[in-house]
Amino acid sequence: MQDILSRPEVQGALPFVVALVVGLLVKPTGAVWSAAGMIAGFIAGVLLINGLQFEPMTATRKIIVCGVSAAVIGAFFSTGKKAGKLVSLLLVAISVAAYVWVFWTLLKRADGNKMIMLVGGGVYTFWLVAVVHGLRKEPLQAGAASVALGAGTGFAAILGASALLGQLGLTIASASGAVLLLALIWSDMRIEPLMTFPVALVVGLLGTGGMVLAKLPWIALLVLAFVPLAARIPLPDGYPRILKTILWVGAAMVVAALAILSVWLLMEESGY
Amino acid sequence: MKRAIIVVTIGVFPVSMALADNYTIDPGHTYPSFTINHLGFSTMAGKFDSTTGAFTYDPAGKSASVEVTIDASSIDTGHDKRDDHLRSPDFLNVAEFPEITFKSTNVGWGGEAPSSIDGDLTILGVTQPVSLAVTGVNCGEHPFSKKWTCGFDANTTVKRSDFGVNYGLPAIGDELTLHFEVEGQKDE
Repeated sequence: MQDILSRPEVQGALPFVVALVVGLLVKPTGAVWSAAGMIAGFIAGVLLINGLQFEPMTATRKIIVCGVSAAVIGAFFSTGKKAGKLVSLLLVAISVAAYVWVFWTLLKRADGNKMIMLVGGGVYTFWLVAVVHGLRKEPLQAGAASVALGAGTGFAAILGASALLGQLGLTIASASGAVLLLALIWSDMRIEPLMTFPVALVVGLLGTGGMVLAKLPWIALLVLAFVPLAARIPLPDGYPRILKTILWVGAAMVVAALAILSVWLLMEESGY
Repeated sequence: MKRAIIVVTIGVFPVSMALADNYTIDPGHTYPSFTINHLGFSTMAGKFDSTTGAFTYDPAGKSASVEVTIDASSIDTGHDKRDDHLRSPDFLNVAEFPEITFKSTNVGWGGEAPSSIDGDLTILGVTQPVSLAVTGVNCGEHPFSKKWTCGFDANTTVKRSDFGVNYGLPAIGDELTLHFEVEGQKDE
């Protein structure tokens, strides 16, 4: 059983399946809750990759804790009517606290280039949180951005930093893919901060982690920062939902692919 | 009689402790190295290029101790890309855990020389007790510097999973054999 669960194709597919099943099961409880499938899929992926081991509490494990905590916070801000800009500011403020906690070990002794990278990673993370939050009322665009951010971060990290960080990014992509599929099927489905906040925060932290804990080139993050913008490309209202989804996913994935390509070109031959 | 034994014990013990000489590890001749099974095909070797520390040694009083601090980022397996990966969060996570340390807690003696060193090994911030087998201790005047110099070899086998280094298990071996070649010069 352990052999099967450790296979990359299983680790890649399981978050999708779990997110899809949970999304289907919770849909009757309210249109907003299907996005919780993404969290379930992420947790399933984490259990395969990291297990329940949280000692020592490394930055990578803190990112996992942040992801789950962000889902709870996102769920709170997904219900009822709340002022959009105020929520956006609050989420960015929470992201700052999460960022400092995750990278505290590095922040307290960073100097020169490392500090510049940490500041840059912070700006990247907070940018993603703010911009992806702007897509919370657009399930197809939020889903497209989430899939592309997860895939872009995941493959870039595998090529340029760490397989562990990469696997977590791909888990986000896989689980987000299931939610996107549900959003395509159900036009009344809502994404809300329940999904946009944890996705943006985790992807931002993973990308920064790849840069400051390993050797992910900063240019990859610069390119990935444009993924949510690509998913916002205006399309004619008359286009069928399936066509819109393909175009938004395609645009976001092209940008993600450019980030992966930049890492590929900058890194030396990786086989060993 | 009892009082006499106590007096002798108290009197001798500090003297033997006081006789232990202090040595500073010579980074140029101290290279902790390791071997690990690679995908079941071969045994791969690597070493750490930067190590500091100190030891005390008193063969007459049969007392010794050692403390070693290894710069985890100095890992060297002869392949830059692999070394980068070994420094990443998948393995040694050197950005967060820049040091690997060993601190002795007890030295076992077999005859005139140490035969084992028990101590605490810390990797990734996780400390585990380990026991090193000492395979040789040699002291003498250094032929070039003319300083009194001692060196020893020691080795042990640990499970990297005990320290939370789990990436690639079981394909990449869990058992990690550590070799310490240590040389130090007596403090003046």
